[in-house]
Amino acid sequence: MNRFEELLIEEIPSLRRYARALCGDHVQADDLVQECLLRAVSRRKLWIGRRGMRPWLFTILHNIYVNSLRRLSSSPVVASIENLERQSASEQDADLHCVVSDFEKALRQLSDEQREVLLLVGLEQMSYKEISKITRVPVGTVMSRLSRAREQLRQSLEGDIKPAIIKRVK
Amino acid sequence: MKQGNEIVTEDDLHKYVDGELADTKAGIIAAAVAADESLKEKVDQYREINRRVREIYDEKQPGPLPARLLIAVSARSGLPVMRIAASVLWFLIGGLLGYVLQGQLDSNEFVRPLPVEAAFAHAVFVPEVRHPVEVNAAEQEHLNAWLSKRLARPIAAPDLRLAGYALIGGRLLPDAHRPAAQFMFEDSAGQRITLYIRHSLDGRASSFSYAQSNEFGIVYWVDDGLAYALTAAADKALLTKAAEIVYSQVNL
Repeated sequence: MNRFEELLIEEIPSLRRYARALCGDHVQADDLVQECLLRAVSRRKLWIGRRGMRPWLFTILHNIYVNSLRRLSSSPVVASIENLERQSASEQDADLHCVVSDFEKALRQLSDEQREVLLLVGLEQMSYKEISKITRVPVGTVMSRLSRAREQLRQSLEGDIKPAIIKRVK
Repeated sequence: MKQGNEIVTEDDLHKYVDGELADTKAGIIAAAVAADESLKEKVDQYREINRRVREIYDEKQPGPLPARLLIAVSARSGLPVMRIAASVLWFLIGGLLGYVLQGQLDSNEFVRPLPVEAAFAHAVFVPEVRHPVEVNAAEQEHLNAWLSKRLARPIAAPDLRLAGYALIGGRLLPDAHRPAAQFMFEDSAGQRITLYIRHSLDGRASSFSYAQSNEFGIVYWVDDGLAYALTAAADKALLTKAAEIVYSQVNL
């Protein structure tokens, strides 16, 4: 195994975490990560090590995610039985966890663009500049998306009475 | 510092929360926030949002890395046909082999982890109606001799009748480095189980490990320089029982 592969493997956990936050479904998220890794490997010559591995991978992941959204919105959703089962399983899972559900619901209701920026800031702790490169929009746009996302989420916080105490009941 | 008189913009607050401000400016905003209850409330809420996002998704860290992600990393580009074939197989195998990253990285078997290779071979040949094996059980002596020759090790099909499986036959398979062997068995209901055998690359003996995909379970181990993997759409208990039989026969 070479340095490139080592670096790639190091980033898998954070890619998965971010993809899961984006998709809300871990099987879909791993599909996304798998595609991202395959593309990274096939374009390894484009990675010169100048930019860190992380922003590069997140950029690839972003592009795949955005393209898949376009595909989804332009084609009817055909759900296989397996997917339906998965879905109901993850719904049950969500019931079990029952963590701060108002907040999670609000998170789901953000636009894809807003959620992406919010997650890159909050979850991945990336700088506005890095996010601007990944999502290919100006820093000002990153900030306005972030601001709108936080504004919406703030309202859901106010609905919650005891935020940190409601832990999963398992 | 003109506390309270500073015009603090919405952007300043976000930048302040996210550590995007230079020290001087951050100090000014910190002072303004401290002096203004409504600004402080906003800042706290933004921080709370970050905290919750991390809380939600850190908790949802799943178990071990799925093997398919490791394979993606070691995939060589340039063979689109292979990639398509692989994705079809992954669909069959169902993706998530509960596979442990640690240990695999230390060993050369990383490139094509044993349970993954075995599950691929299982997924390909088990559905075969007419040609599930190259040499069938009627020619068992020939099968054993042939595979022993190709693997350069004495190899014999184990007797799994105690676990309810009869030998169908076996085949030679390509593995990453050297030829490998697959024996296939069937129970009275037509359920098939395969035993995959290849040379262990690091040769270290290991105890039974278990990997699970949506479709199959795999029990695998390394013994005396050979790596074994039993794969079937069966539960862990049954596979382990069969594995114990194989192990005891190999070590007679």
